[in-house]
Amino acid sequence: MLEIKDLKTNFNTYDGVVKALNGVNLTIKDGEIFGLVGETGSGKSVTCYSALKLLPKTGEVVGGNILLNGEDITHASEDRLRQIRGGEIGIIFQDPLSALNPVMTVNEQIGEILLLHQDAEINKLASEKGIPVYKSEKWKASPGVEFTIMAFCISFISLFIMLGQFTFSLPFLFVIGMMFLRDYLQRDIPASALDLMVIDALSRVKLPNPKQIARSYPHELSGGMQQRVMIAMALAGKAKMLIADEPTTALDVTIQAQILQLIKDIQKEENMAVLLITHDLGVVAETCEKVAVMYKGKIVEEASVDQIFTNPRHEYTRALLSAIPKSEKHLPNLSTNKKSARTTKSESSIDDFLKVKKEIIDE
Amino acid sequence: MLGVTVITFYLSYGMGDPLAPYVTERTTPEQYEMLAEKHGLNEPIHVQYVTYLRGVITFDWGYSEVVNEDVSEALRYRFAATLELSILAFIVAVATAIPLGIFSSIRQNRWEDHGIRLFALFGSAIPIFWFALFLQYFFTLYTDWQISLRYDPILWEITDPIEIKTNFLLIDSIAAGSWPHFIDALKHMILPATVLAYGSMATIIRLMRGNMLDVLGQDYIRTAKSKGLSENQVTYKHGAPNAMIPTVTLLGMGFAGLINGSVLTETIFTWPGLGAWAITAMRSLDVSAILAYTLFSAFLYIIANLIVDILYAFLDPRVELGGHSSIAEILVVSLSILMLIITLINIDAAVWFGFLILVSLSGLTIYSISKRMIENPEDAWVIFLFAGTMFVVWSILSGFFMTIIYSSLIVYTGYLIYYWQDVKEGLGPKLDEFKRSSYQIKKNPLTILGLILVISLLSIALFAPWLAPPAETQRDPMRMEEHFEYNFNHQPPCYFSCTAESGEEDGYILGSTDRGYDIYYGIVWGSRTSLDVAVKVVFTGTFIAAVIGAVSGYYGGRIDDIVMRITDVFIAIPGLVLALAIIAVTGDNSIEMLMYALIIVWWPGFTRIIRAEALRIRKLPYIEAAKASGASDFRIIFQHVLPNCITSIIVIATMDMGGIVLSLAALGFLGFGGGPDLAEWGKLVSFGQDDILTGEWWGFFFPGLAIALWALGFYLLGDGVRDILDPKQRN
Amino acid sequence: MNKESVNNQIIISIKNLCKHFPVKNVWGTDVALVKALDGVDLEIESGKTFGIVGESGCGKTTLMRTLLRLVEPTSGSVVLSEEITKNQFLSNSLEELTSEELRSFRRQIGVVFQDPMGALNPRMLIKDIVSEPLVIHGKTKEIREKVISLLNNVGLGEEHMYRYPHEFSGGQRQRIVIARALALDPKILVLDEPTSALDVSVQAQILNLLNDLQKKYELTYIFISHDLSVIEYMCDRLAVMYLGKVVEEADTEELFSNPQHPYTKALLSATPNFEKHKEKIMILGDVPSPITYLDQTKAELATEITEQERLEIKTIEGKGIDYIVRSSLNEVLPLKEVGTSHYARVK
Repeated sequence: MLEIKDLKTNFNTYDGVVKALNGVNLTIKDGEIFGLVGETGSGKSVTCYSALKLLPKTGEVVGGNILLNGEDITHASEDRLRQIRGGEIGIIFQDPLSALNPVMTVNEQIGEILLLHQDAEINKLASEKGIPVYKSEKWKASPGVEFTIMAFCISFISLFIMLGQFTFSLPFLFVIGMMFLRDYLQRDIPASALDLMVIDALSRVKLPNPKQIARSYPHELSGGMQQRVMIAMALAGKAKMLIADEPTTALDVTIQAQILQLIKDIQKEENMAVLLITHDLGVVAETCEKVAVMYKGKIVEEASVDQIFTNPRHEYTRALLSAIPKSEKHLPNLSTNKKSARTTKSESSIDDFLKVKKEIIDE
Repeated sequence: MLGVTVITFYLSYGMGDPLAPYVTERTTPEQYEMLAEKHGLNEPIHVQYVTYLRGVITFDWGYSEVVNEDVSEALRYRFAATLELSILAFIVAVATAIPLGIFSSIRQNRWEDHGIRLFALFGSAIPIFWFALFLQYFFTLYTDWQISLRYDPILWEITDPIEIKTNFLLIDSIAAGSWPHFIDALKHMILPATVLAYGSMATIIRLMRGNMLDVLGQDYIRTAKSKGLSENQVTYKHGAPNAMIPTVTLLGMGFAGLINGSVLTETIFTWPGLGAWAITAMRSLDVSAILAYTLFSAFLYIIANLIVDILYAFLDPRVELGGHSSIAEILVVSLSILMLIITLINIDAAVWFGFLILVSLSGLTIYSISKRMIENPEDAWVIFLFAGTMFVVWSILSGFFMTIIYSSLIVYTGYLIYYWQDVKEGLGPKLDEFKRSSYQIKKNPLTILGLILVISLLSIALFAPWLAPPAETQRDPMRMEEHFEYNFNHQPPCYFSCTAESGEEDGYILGSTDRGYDIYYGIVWGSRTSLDVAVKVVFTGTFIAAVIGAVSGYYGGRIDDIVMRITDVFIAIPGLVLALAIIAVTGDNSIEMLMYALIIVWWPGFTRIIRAEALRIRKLPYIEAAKASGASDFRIIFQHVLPNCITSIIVIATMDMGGIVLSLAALGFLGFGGGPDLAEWGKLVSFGQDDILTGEWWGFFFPGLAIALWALGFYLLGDGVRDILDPKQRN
Repeated sequence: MNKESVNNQIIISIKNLCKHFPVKNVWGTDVALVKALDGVDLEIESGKTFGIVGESGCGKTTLMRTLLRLVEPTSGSVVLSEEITKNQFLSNSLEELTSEELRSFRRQIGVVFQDPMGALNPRMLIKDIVSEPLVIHGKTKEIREKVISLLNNVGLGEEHMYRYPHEFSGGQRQRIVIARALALDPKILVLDEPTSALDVSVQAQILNLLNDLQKKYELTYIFISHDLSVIEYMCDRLAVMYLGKVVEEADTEELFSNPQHPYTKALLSATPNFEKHKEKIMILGDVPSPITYLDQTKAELATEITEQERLEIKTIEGKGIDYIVRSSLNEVLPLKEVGTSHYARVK
């Protein structure tokens, strides 16, 4: 599905050029759940952003190839990239509250991606059911605001009428008139095809009241719901691959379990490829089939999940695993020699590898 | 948090304010009109005692006696004139500035960006009145537009009079269906509107640009891109609406700026609006009229803010209007309504009632503060702090300043010596920081320009006695000397080729004004005035704002509430208007009074900013850690909160060095401050004002240029300092 | 409640601690209470590490802040042992201390916060940060030597004294925070998620450091976290909190091998780990907020199963996953002894 060959990415910062990726090789097959593990600064997030060209202005890909289903997209045009983003690869981010636009409703945000990638389906649905493609519920604010505006206008209208300055009251009458007109026009329109598809997308992520949620703003939802909305949004374009960048780090443990289960379920249902980026090895153990460990911009080990936890080859992987509290208990098969790190010692040989003096910008 | 701010703001302006008499006026403009018509009673003695903030009700019907004309009619006309102009200017400003700001942020650091930023910078630095004169000069000399009128009298009164219903000429023209009238009105309005708009435009552009840059760095922008949206879609559909939100909140302030500016603009273009009328009133020190105008502009400002608040809630779904309030606020609201009713019945009773409320409220405040002090004796230091602040303020202004400076220096040196070992080692990292900062200064050419400007201007001030030696007969070098000999008036500048001409005197380097003042001399010594005022005002204001803002922000709760209310009231009155009102009310036209006035005008805004910073810092873990270690509040505020506000403080103080001089010049231009012969740039510009019609441009040009350069220098420096000290705000 | 700790002294005893935050409506009257702490009883043993686990809204942060007196409890008391009062206090109840005694108390309890970035004043030198507690309490004799020794204790050196916080990495900053917390030789250290913001490897170092320090200075730790693996590693005994109450309390090994309360089971199951064949229990619905509406009708609704939960049940049915409905956890049961020193709120 996705093949990354020898990818090199640099960031141009005030303190100089930072080599975030130093030749990354990664292959993800169709329908595979792949985990990408690393600590801060390892470059794991940068890898997926480079693939989709979502890097900030200071970043650029300076070497390597990215192949999507055999097609080389390393130097693909912006148009082609836009097709891929959301249409073939969906991506969800770490903190769902900040990753969703606070001033747009869920309906609008999911609707956007549907319009971009599922245009044909929307039209088909619309014509089948004889309903409009989409309707706009703009120009409508929360009830409190509406009431205030109304009160404001009415008081000013009465004021000016009392003053005998009728003309002054005209603009306020106009405003009220517009409000009523808008309400009338949007009164009984049945759900548009777009609305229906949004509701459909929301149900796919097991949200029980999609209509209500569609009308809500992101900050009105809980963390778990927000993340579900993000997943719904990322998959609305019928992408065949999902990239999840630390999707559960900002969530509570029990919600994390729900979301991971959800991702597993969806993956099975749609036979999608999933790239799960995280720093938590436990998450990888539970969810993924294959895993790659990254350190300082390179992949240091890649194996199936079973292998990695029973027989890690690279020293960094070992060090990482043994740094997990109580690793002796959870990973009894972890063969170690006296030299490698155990959490019982304060000086661990991890120090050899982890002289992270400067935090590499990891978006 | 944001919601709470909106709520308190909204409630205070929509429903009440602790200073109850003030409220009633705001909530019922009809009262104002009706009373103005009905009563021609004597001005009560109360007016003298109660400050203009609180004497609202009383002035209201007193004013009608002092101004000897059909008050309501004149008021309506002038009000409409000013409002029409302001609204047009506002629309122009907003409509151009917002797209420019957005565009500038998209093309960040490319030439379009730099161009727009420069344009915006000039807008802030150039004194409005100078700009207006500039335009007037060109248009008078090179076109046949009649600048000084609102409409062409021939057309409107003789040839084809149309019915004037609203006094809004544009609207009336439309109502009468007459295109030529519309065009004519517009033609006359365009120039003053542009002048008015330019200043606001500048601020809005910078605001919008900053907000867009912030927004574009947010996570949801990345999400939007990841969905496959195009750059344009992302910027305009996702970015702009979010960036608008913080901009909108400040638009209300922008409107205040317009009111400020309208005073100046109307004077120059002789636009028959409220501002011009107010100036005449102030020149004759007509107290009640001034109070009326002050109140009125505050009223307009508050209405504008109300609209802005609603707009803000409309744009940002996270904010909810209305919300929790406390018993105190309900009490205030009911008292205001009661006040209203009493006013309808009997004015006198209303006055006494208002007075009573005022006294009791003040009493209550004092009582609750003292009660708190008694309960927590260790908090008593707050009182000492405020008292100490007042003391410092007084000392600065009364010249006691230098003594304090010297003694503090001595104490500081002693401290350094005692802890020398420590200081020496601590110096290392601080030097590193300094080196890094200076490296960054070098990278930014605009900042260097600012630095050069500032240093040159400061040197001029310093070396004034040598650059422009005063004549031996002059008592006070700051007072310009009049030359009454005819042939020395209106001399054109001779720049560098001045030689002795007829008589004993050399020619004037930069020309002279109608009374024979040497412009060059005035500019050189005027720099001293500017420096003097700027330093004292900024220093004092910073001190007050830092102390009050930090304490208020840190404590929150009731203290914060009170401080917020007080600053709200001050901010509601546009700065220039307030300063003029103070001068008029006290009847004191000296430069010291001017400084006091400027401090009073300036401190609330700065305080609010620092308070906001303090609020933010209060929540950080290291504050909690300090508390958990047992640190006293005093220590926390001065050791932890204030030092972290330093960045904002320095940046704003620097930029305001420029801003204060602009205000000073505006006041000087209008004729206030320091007597008619004090060397002050604004005054000089006003002297040159009338000469424009005869083509003698040097009168207004050079002093105005000095003002602009001063402001520009400090703004650039401030911007640069901000970039250096706060890496987050780079670009 | 009768608990006899045979071997160790109890250093702090928390009795029925409650902290309610009122929610007011427009008219200023209370419509609801956020019961951040709803009757917490705990006994902390001296010299050991006591863990407190829970998700957001469970009250663990409020508990810490109440202990540190950054916030006043609504009711209940914190009883200090002789070890702290040294028999010099008039009362050994935290609420009744005079301000002098409070200062003395503050000397004996140190805090380590979660966020190493925010925990250090960016404008202060390290030396000033670490020495601040000493300065506040007037212990300025030989302060320089003390600072150096504190820094050495946490693995930093004299050369770090004259630097600013932003020059250090996250792990190092946390060490500085620990050094500051130990400045006054406290007996108790409260740690609020001290390693949540750190990478795994750095986390290991810090945890080891904490263990070493505990042994060296015979410190008592109160360790708050949401990460069960860290808790398992560090703590001798722990309590699980949910909605402001302790739902289960036991020695670490006992709790992990034999959890009784459904929430504990769900928590253990949800923590991602490496055991492939463990019991899978999922908890449905969103993390609740401990808000109680004073209006009776609203209060009752809280125990009904929600739509969200119904839907989720449908999706997990038949997948070999047991589920727990959150509303079932809202029922308040009394603590019962279910094993040696093991208490849980089960039927």
